[in-house]
Amino acid sequence: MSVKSRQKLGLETPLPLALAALGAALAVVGLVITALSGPFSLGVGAGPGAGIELTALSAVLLVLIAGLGLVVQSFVGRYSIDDPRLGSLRWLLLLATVGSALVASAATLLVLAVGWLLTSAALAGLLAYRPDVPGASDTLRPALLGLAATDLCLLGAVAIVTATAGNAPLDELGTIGRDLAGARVAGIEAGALVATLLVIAALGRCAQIPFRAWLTQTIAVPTPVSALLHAGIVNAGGLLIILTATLVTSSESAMLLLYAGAATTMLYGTSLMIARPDVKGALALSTRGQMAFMLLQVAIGAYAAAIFHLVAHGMYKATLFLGAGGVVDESRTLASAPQSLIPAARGTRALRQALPALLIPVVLIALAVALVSPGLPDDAGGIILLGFAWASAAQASWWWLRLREPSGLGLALGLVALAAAVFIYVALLGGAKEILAPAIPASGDATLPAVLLAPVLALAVAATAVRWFAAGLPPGDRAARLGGLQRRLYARALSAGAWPPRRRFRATASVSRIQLSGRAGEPAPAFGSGE
Amino acid sequence: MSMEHDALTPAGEARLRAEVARAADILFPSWPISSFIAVNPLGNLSHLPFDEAAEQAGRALGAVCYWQPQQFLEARDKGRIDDVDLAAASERARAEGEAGEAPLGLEDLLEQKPDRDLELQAMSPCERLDRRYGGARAAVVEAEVSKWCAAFLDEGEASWPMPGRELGFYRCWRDLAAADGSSRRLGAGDLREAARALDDSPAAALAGSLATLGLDQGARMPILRRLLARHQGWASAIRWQSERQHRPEHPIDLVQLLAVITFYESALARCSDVEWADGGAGSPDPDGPSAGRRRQEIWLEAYEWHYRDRLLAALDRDQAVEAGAERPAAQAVFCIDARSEGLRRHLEQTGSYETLGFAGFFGLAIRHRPFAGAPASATAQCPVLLSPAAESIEQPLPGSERDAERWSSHKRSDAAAIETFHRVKNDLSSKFALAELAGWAFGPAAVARTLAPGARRRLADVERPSTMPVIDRPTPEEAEAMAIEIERGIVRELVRAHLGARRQLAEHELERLREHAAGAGPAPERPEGCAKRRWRELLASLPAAALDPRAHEDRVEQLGALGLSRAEQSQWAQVALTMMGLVDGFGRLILLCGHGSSNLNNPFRSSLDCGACGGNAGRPNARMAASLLNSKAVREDLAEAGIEIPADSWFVAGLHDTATDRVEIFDREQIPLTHRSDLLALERDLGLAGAALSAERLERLGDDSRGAEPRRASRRRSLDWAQIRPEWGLARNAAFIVGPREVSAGLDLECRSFLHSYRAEVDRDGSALETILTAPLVVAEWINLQYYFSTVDLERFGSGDKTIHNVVGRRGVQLGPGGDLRIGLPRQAVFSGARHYHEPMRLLAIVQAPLERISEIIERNAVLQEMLGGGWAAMCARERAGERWQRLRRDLTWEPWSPADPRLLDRQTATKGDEGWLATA
Repeated sequence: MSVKSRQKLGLETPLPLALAALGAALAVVGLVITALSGPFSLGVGAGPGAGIELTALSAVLLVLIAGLGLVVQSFVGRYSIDDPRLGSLRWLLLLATVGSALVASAATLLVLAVGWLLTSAALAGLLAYRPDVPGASDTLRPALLGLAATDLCLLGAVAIVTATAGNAPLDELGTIGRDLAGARVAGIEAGALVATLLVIAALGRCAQIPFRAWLTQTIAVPTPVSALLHAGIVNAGGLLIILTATLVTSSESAMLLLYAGAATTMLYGTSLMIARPDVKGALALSTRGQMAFMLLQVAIGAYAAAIFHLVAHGMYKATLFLGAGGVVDESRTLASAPQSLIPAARGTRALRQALPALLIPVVLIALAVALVSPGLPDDAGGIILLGFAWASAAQASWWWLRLREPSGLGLALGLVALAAAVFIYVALLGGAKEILAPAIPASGDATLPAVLLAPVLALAVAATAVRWFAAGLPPGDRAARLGGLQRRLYARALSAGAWPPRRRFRATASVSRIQLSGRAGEPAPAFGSGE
Repeated sequence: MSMEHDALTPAGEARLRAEVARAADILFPSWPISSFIAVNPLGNLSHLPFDEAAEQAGRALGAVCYWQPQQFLEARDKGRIDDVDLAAASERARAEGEAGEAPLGLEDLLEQKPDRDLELQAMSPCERLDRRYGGARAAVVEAEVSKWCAAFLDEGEASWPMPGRELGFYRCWRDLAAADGSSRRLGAGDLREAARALDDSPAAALAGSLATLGLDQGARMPILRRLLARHQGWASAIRWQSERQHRPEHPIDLVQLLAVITFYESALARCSDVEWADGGAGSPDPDGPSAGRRRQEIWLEAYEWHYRDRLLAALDRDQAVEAGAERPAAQAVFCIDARSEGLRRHLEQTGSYETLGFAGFFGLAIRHRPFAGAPASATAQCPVLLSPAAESIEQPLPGSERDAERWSSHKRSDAAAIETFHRVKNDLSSKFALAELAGWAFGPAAVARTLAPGARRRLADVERPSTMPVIDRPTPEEAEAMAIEIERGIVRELVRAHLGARRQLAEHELERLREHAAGAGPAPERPEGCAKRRWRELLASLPAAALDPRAHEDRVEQLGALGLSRAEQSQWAQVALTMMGLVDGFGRLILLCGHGSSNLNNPFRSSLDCGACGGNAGRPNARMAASLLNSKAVREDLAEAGIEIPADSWFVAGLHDTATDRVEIFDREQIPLTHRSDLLALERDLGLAGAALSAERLERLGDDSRGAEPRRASRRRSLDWAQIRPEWGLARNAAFIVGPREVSAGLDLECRSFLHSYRAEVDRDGSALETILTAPLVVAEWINLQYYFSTVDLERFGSGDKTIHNVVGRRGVQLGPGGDLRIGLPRQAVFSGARHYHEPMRLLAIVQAPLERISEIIERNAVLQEMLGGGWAAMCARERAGERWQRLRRDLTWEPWSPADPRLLDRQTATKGDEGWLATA
């Protein structure tokens, strides 16, 4: 058959791409069916014991995962067209997609574990895909070891539960947890042990402190792979806690561990991000902060909000990664844009811009909640989460006022845009909560009080306030007033975010030796190490 | 660390700086990626012959500068090199090389012994320790230096910029290193004390560290060179910043860089319990060219001349003398860029068009500021060999001021929105909810952009206002008046910002404020009904608004440098027309066509734009050139100089989009009604030519596009954010042809040749040819060598695989998460799959002009002697069509061209098999 006629028949489409397209179509069908007729199960015998279940939650997640899988498969076909190993890359990406889909739609703990391990296998393959990136082979081992350690924690938890209750359906974990509470494994209370192991697994997959080694490794791979990892794989940690919530939330120590890891990461990881001069490095560190935010939402029992964050962030981060090459063009556009004739506001004029920027969002959010989704802030947690929305809206307003100095019509249009954004946000969040409600597990007794989120919000906002203050100062004053402390903090943030992670050099095989002795006589190297 | 050394004397410092400068000649400045400039990476060694420079740089950088033997052997297996080519190359090497050398026979050349490995000339202290004792000290130093360089050279990516950059790199780094507690983890103890103890002067600190390393004197130049070579990318970027940047805000130079490098080198070497200085000091310089080097040179020559012979044979024909009786339908002047050749060839096939080639900046070295753009947004629209001689801005046409204002307001909003997004995104508290909202917009958009690229329509994009470049230089009075007008605008803005939009002041009140700010009057009274506090603030804000007499002077001076004076205009027009040989036979319509490339999500986009315009699209130059040549005054002066442009000839400006093969015409509204039909016909034929070129290009790109219409397919390709290779750029470039179009007309040169128009008979004093050979030829040589070196050593001279690129500091790319900055072209620009696409050959200049004239020009210009005598490029020439080509030997004398395959001399065969000869090359 000639090439042309094969193309006409669509036969040249690679199998993984075709499968990804099929998967995306099925996911959409699944979402429609779930929306119309409620949840249904597939697998060995319908009803109890089924392997896969399609609820509102899994249907939404499957659309995200399969959609992402399709986008990445389509993207990589043109992006990595020169890669002689493109075929195997496609299969690895597909494996990661299938594994994640299995986790998202698992009805029992064993199926979830299988999906998790499939994803891990794909993840390991993807992280090791480009050992030719300078330094990547050095950092690969610690990254994979960290992942393997946290995966072992998951396996341990699954083993304990399965030993006790067999192939446990996820919706019966609560009962099983109560049974476990009496038992002891190696002298430790079994319920708490299982919960802690699950939390460690989640922290590891979400690259939270102290398990962060593997996230930098996600930049040492082709761009579309980074996109998939950051949008579809890292967030499995949050999903794990939500799916096993009835069990995990019965242990206070596990929940405190989750909180401690996530809260530190959220503040620390984000401050490393803002010092990064490279696009992908900043995006990777940003993911860590976003995952921390999601885990905090989980910790206070705001599951619907966490899922909402997970899905939206997945689309957001995938787009930013895929488009990471556009930053040079964008900086050209910004440089050639018409400029304001007058210097930016400082002093009292800056303050005059700050006040409405702080207050108007409060009014808009209150209005939106009252009009669109009155049930949204049903507890302290809801209100604090809206506090984060306020921080974004205030930040946007302030910079818009500073950069654009609008007046009259411009001001009105800006206000309308802000109001629209706030209303859409509140409507989406409220809608998500309502749609997901039936599929969301109840949270246990040990769920943390929502007020614990308040100090995190306060610290983050305080950091922003310092930066506003600095931006409002003339450059000379800035150095004088913030000199010593700023230098210490900056040096720390820059060094901690830099790559490769610092370590004492050991008297073992070194990168530079390989480069020195092998380099000079080689032809232009081909892709990857396998060539 | 106590630095026990004598204070650095001024003489010592001068000596040290001179040594650093010499050490740095293996590096060439590397331009920021937003205006990628193709350069010869060995450009600072161009006084040496090619092979010697290659060996020097190769041994310092650990780079290869030739293809490896197996690659040449592969080319031979494919018939790309014949044995006769090898024999001829070997014979040439004997005849032109040093006396007494035995020619290398075929057996010698085919012998598959691996060439002597290029040994590093010297190693850095840490490298030497690593090699002897194991460890990764050198990698630690590299990571540290990269970290600081990336932070310092950042052009706005990090939302928390490095504090203290205005102090210069060295002092800024020292203050931070003194506060960086995490340096303990480097393995050399706490370095904060040592950093605090460092001298204020970077030269003294460098001297101190060198003394600690036992490198006070003697042969330290090779080590300095190696230290720079290990940080090749950053050092090259720093060379640009310290030597070429227009107005450096953040001072940095190589001495500062070396002070930082040697600080870490000495710290890590010192803390090891071993002596670093006892290792071998690299291998000494070999005397004379090694056998390996000679062999490589012969292989490369054979590879080059195999192609060149066939090209020359194809060009070697009796030209049908164009009677020139009929006036052409139109003339079209394109850039010399090799990609123009395709469009010219196809356009000529559609009708009686005459096409010409001229450097795409049209000889106008301008610094251009886009309409309403900030001064910092100005781009140098000329080859980097020149510095801009005039400033250019755009002003709205009379009657479209309101459109212009609306557009500029719209663009300001766009920019502010993008920037606001980044501010919200890069912050500790605001980024979380942003992701939750933006994700819902981004997700569907990403699906659409990936699955259906090109389907996206731009919504609500306000139409660009009609503007004109300012071409006439303002008189001092005009400049003064323009400056005052700008200052009135500033005052108006300030009043609006402080008093609010509704509080309007009368014009005379604004004028009083302006005079007050300029120090020419007392503060005006507070108007009725204006809040006291606000008025006070307004007055207080005046000093910071650049309204003082000095700022005014600067402004007047800048405005006075706009455009060209009448003398400059006429001079330019005469030189430009003479250079392109367009002095008579003007058509009714003459298209001046620049070029640029539209593509998305591509950090290397500017490498596809016009090199003659400094890595930018050639729009402003083409527009300015067209309006100058339409100017009555210029035409009068030209007529006096003997160049009569008929009154019914009209110049139009255009831009060839090399990614889509479309030509956009500018300033249509100014084209006389009488010429509209001519323009429509030209545009129709440009469309046909573009479609034919698209089909040809898509085939070369291996893009079958499922049988879509070629122009649609290439447009979709250019709008695809997943597309790693929007076009081939200048890959496979190999020759530079100077002469009338008849030399190459009708031949398919496969977009591999730069074409510069030239008619020896109108260039009476040879000055046009001298300019062509010393400017456009040099630019083409740089481009050619950039492609050459990026292909032969993708790791050292190329920037590696695009799919793992990480844009750093908006200035360049790193591979993955860190490491050295990468210079040169990416893999995807020169490789197709696992195989090279670009054929690494040095440029062949083919000139049709009197040989004595060429020889005289070479004699006068050292740059040409070095280039052609040193083997960086080759040259063939003939005086007129029908004569045999003459080859320029390395000793700069001429000899008749005799192809390795004598059949090529048979004009009959060669002419019949035009396409065939080239196709086998």
